[in-house]
Amino acid sequence: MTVAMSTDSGFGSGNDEGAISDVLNGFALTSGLRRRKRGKRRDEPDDDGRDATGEPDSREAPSSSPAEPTDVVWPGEEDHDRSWTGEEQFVSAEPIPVEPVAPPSAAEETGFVRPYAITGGRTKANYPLELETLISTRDAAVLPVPDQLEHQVIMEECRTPRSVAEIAAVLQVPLGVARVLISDAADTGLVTVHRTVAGSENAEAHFMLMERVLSGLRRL
Amino acid sequence: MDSVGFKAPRQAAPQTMTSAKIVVAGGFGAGKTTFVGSVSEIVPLTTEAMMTDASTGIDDTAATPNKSTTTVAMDFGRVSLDEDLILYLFGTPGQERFWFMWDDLVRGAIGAVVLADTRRLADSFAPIDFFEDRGLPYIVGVNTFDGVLQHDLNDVREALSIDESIPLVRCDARQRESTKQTLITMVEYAMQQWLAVRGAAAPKPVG
Repeated sequence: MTVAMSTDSGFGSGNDEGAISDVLNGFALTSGLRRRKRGKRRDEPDDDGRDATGEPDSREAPSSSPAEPTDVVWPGEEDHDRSWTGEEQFVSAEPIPVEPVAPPSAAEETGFVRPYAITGGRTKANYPLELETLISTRDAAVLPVPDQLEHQVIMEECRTPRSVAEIAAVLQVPLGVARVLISDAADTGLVTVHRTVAGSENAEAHFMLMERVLSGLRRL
Repeated sequence: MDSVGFKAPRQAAPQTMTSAKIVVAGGFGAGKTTFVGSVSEIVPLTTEAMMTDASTGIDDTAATPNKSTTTVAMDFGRVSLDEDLILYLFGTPGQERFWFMWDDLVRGAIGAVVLADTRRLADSFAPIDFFEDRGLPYIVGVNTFDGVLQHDLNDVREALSIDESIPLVRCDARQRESTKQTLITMVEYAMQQWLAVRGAAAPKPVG
């Protein structure tokens, strides 16, 4: 605690100017409070009701920090944290109304969306979607309005047939994510999945395909 | 009256499209991206990242000092061969830490072209082993950087210790015609292989 106190004073004298550090201060204020409260609860089971709202956030914050070693917010925040644990006594003696600090913007907090969050965590596709499997958008007249941005991109992209790999590249998502999104789009009737001639399953068709590719290459 | 002039914006018949896939493999800096790009009708969709300090000590750049980027994920190009036939060329991920993607790459592929850089032949061993293990037909293209073939092709074959039946061709990855010929050689070889393995059981194509 004494260490924390000393960092606090050092911080307060040097760093409290500038809009960015103000924001960081505000951010640190809440998280510091929440952490304090969680720590307090371990010691004293009877706590006020506000703790319940603070709890999920305080659990979320540390878990996301290791994923972003380069994020500038977190290292700074650690310093602030220590400083605000220093203020702990003051806060607990006379609870300041925690000013509604605007939650950090999505970009600031996470930096990116984890890929499979787009698919709701699902990893399985309902269709055999190879890298080269072609997808084309169905007749737009009978389509419901797609409610997911990715589906709109897929529909736009596949007006001329596009491969799974191309769709993944356009969406800038990993292949597995693209497969689930395409599968969903096909289930909803937005797109058609063309049949892929897989080598082992239909050897004769595979040979015919090779013949066609060969003559096609020669014509190039 | 109410239907006069109304035409449903639907195609007469849903067109069936077919696609095929050829894998382009080779070591780091062997020219895979150039090879794909020389024949692709689209700018190859690549996930290339500038090679930074992060790759120092991981990617060996001693033999290709001028190379400033490396493919960190697969890149691929598209060649429309017919109205309803599209060929995709997939470059393999340049580093062995991306091996997990190779199963996707080889499944259903016609075959593979292994681009060999004679300055670092050993880089070709891993892809060759992989394709032999999976039974995927492959040929070796010795990329002649700057148009100069540094070694006799027979020496290269011996150094790679590949069977005499496997085509070994020289190619210039920058030249569309050279790339095209290499691909033709590959598909021809794949068809020969197919006939050798299954020919007896398969019915002859009509015509």
